[in-house]
Amino acid sequence: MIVVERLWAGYKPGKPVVKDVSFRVGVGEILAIVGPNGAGKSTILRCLAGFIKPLKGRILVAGLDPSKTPAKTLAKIIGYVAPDVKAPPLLTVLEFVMLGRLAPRGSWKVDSEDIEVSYETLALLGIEHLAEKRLDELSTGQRQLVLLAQALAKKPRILLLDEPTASLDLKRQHDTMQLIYDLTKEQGISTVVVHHDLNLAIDYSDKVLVLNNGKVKAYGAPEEVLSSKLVQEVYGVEAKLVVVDGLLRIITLTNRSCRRGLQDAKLETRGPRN
Amino acid sequence: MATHSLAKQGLVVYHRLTRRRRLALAATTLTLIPLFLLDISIGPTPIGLKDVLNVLAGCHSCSETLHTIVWSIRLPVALAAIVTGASLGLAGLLMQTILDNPLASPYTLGVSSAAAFGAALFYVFAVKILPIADHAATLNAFAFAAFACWLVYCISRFKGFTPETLVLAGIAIGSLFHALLAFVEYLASEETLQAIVFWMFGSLYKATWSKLAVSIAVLLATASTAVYAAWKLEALRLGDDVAQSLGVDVKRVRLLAFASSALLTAVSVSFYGIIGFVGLVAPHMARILVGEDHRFLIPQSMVMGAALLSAASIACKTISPGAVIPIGIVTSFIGVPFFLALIVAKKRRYW
Ligand SMILES: Nc1ncnc2c1ncn2[C@@H]1O[C@H](COP(=O)(O)OP(=O)(O)OP(=O)(O)O)[C@@H](O)[C@H]1O
Ligand SMILES: [Mg+2]
Repeated sequence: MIVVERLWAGYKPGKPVVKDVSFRVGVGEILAIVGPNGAGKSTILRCLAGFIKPLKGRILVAGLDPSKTPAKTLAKIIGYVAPDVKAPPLLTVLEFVMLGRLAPRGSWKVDSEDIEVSYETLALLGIEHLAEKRLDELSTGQRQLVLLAQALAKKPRILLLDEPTASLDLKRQHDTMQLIYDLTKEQGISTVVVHHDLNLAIDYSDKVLVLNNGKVKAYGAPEEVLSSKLVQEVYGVEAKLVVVDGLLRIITLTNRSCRRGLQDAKLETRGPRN
Repeated sequence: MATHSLAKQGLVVYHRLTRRRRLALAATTLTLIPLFLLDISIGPTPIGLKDVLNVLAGCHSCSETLHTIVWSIRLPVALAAIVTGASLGLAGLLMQTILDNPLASPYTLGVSSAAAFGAALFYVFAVKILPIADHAATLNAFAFAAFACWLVYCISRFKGFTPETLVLAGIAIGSLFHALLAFVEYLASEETLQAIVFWMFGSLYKATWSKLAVSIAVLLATASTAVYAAWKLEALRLGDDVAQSLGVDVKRVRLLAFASSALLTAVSVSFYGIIGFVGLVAPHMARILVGEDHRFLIPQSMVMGAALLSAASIACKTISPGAVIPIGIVTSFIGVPFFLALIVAKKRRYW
């Protein structure tokens, strides 16, 4: 359970970048935060993870105030995934994933459960074959999956994911979000995920929160709060909301495309290389 | 059943990863034994390895002189090489980890200049910082080394005790003491100047059993603390943000490692003078051998440091029989080619 009430946050006093934000993520619920670059999405996650103190407002994460809870306690219940990580090249993937479980513990001992769970988590994300690779031998997307594995291997009650699919291929984006969605439901996790892809945000969330300039522009179930007017207002991009096969899609329209003026050919039915 | 075999597979992978590290650590530790014995046997009066073993085993038939040479000269020096090498290796590793910098060494934060300044104060002005009659140069050196570390800590604490502020504060304080040292040297007579220079060269012949007891105690205490906090230190290598998200109290761990490294360095500099290169290179050699896993990297750095200094101690005596070349000079001669060979042979990035 995550409760955020009238949160103001920023990096310098008197210069808030998150302004009066409130939301609530229940057990087994997933909230997607979207918004333009610099809107304050990552800042909200950092507040929830306890990295920065709010200027004003109240945060409760699994019943704890992150700004007053020791990092060790938070690390055991929160799985936080940064957009990328700077890692020493000699670290192996398995070790990196295990580090998530071992670092908060304060002892040098490794249980076989730590190894097993870490490896199983890699397998869950379909990357167990990378276990013995060094971190600098991975592609960006593979590294992103490894980061996610580290957070999941902790078996957290709270998941805070900052653009977890930004570097993944089309299938992996959906597989990974589906996995996160399922785990959230099955294990009663409270998940907050930041996206730039509005359609991913729609597909794998209970609620979305649209942030612009640090302020909440919309908050609620995607089909209830999203509109082409909102997209125009927040991003300055013309968009159309359509329902295809029962799915809500946001399609961006731009008269700047170099492909504009195409005739409606039978694109759907033709095969590849045609 | 599927997950069961998956777990098993994970264990297999993990053991494959650690087996290599175990082997490397065991093999290099074993090489310390011949180095140690050779270090005892070589000298102005060569002693056969058999005799060395006999004397060490406490034989009664051995001659009195042999007994004296081994127990009161050779053994303390050989042990000092092992213990000091291990101390510098560990101190260097801790510095590189907390400063997040491959160029860091035990002397990066100005400990050596401060210690040398303390010793020089005694040689030139007969100043005694601590009210103790004996070992004034050593105690002065230690006091100033500790003082410099405390200054560095206080300064960097103003700006969050980050790696950058630590380095900058350390370099500033180091330069300050360097200048002070130069000034004292300028005022010194030729004789005292020589004493200072010789003090700084670093020599294990200052070893005594009581000094050894102190350095062994410090080494054991700091090494066990470091190994216990192995995963936290490793997490620091991922950057402060990530380490914090992994539940590491970044500032506390950094302070602990800094204090350990400072203590190790202060003890070794004030006891034996400045022995360069070991603390910079031993951690790198260890890292190439066992990777970032600090449970292995910590002891491996200590073993590499000990081996390097032991080998240097042997080389000191063999290069020019009769004259004792200061060990601080020899460490570089021995270490550089070995180190370069390792780096060239290892084609991939390792920092
Ligand atoms: N460490 C920092 N110090 C000072 N200001 C910062 C810091 N990090 C971010 N900011 C500022 O805070 C604002 C919000 O940043 P934040 O990282 O939360 O944006 P975001 O919504 O995550 O953007 P993006 O989509 O680009 O990741 C920005 O204006 C940024 O300039
Ligand atoms: Mg961001």
